[in-house]
Amino acid sequence: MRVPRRLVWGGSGLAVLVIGCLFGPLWVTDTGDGDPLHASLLPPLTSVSILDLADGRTLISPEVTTSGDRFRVGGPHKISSIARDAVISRREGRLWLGSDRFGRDVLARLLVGGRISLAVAALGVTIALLVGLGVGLAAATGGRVADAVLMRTVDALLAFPILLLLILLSALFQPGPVLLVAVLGLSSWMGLARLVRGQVLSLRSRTFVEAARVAGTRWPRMWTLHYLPNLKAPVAQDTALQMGNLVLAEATLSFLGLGIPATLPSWGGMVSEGQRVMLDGWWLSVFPGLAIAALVISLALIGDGLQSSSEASA
Amino acid sequence: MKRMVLRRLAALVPLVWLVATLTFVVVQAAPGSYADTIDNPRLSAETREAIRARYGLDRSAGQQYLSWLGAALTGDLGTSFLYKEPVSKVLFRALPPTLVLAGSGLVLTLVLGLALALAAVRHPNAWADRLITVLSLGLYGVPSFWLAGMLIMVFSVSLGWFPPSHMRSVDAADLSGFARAADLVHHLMLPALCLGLVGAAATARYLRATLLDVRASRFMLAARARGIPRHRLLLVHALRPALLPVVTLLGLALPVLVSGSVVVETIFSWPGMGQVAFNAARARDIPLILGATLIGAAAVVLGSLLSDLLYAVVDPRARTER
Repeated sequence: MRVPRRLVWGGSGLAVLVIGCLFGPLWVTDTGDGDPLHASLLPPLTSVSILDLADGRTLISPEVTTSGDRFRVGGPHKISSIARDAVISRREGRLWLGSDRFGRDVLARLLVGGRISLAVAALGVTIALLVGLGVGLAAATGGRVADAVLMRTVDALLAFPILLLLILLSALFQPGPVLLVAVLGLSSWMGLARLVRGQVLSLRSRTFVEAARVAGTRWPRMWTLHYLPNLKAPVAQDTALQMGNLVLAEATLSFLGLGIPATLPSWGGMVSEGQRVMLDGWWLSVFPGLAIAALVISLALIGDGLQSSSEASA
Repeated sequence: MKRMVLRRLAALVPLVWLVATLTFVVVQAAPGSYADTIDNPRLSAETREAIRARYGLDRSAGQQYLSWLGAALTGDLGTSFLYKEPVSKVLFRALPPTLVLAGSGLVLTLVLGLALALAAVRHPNAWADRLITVLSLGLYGVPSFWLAGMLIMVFSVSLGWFPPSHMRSVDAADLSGFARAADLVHHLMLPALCLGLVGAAATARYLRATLLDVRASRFMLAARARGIPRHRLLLVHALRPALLPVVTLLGLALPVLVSGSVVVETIFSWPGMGQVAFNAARARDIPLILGATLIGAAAVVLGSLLSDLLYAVVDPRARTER
């Protein structure tokens, strides 16, 4: 079977982002907690020297010169003179995507923030998947009353203005990754439940399922052998698109200050911080925005690709 | 048909009641109240208690719910804690700005989306098609708050063409009719463009796929064989069936038209429903939160009904079902 090109593109994009966020921080020059005095708001591609001091501080500066037994550390806000004995090691590095107001490496923060964004979206979509599958299957196979109750609940939840609900929950409770996962997961399973219910109902009228039922197949085997395998393609496609939506929702909430707390790096939060000092450093908000877009586009391409491959095999 | 409409309208009331009740439960379950959001360290504990009593927050949750519900049934949505005005007044004031902004966004979405999709399918897989595909995919993935920042950066800060925020200039009250309208349009440009671009990307992606499907169908081959010119083939024969699903989008756009976009309104300081809802949620202004959710939920239900009705109008096949 030919793999659709969109799936290849989306899959590679997602793989690059996931691997980059997981292992990237090991490869990026370690700049510790940054250096607000000497490395504030340096543009992308600046090469810097990193001095690890005996008292545990880390100095980062684009211009380090030696004069006698002292280091002269320059920077936009301050010039320091450091005795040679106070410096444990001197390393060279490059700020590929520049630094923020606090002299922190934007790339390093982007990669760490990506871990959180990816984890929140992946866990959120897992919850949505499990609840959606459960409710959809229960509605389709649990009899008329269960179907009516569950589907009216789905209708009511879908009538909830979704972003308003998210904002409400995050504004009311202490925001944090755990709450975010729960809120995102529990507010996005309704579409999947409808999809699963519809698919199972249409599968039930298919000949092979009728044959299995007539042959006396019991429900555990019915599900594992007939329902779940045939649900795989549409559910996988919807899950990919849903995960893209969750990435955008998480970023939006973090942008509004209601998602990931500001003490942790997050892509949405970085855009918000960057927009406040947009005139001093365009790179602060541009790159996190592009990272969000890259992730959402990869997931959309995977969704498109899965759809066209399931159409081709149908 | 008529029975379907009546049934759906009858379902509206319990659904909206359910949504309001759920909202009330969520707000009650959260720690703290409006009295705690007042950011003034000099407020004594007694004063905070007095504020709670003044807004009726010292009553039990059940009492608060019943008195709200009783008043709501007579059409009284209560008084906003934050704005110190009737909720209906706050919402009515915020509605026109949202209608203007979301309406212009919707028009841009449809016009741009349609134009891009038509330009793309004229020659499938040619350079224009690829460019539009990449462009619409890119816009689809870009978060709207980021796009808003970029638009402000480029068109407002660097080029100075449009104001970066608010709906009117400070001296708008002194302007005459026409100049006032021009001032409004001037302020409307960037936020409407932000909404329109994001929406147009999704519409173009969707419409391009449907147009390509329609092109491959047999009636198109038959039309081509009859010697119908290319542009007529595309604009009349292919576009009509491809537009059917887009018509349903019109109905589904109703919630956004009424509730507004929280993100865009917040960034551009647009005094609409989205901003009001955002402020209400942050201040735990229970009556206003409930009022905004009520309107939002009603809009979702009416929107999906409207979209089904529109579909039945344009596609006779849908009329016989249900």
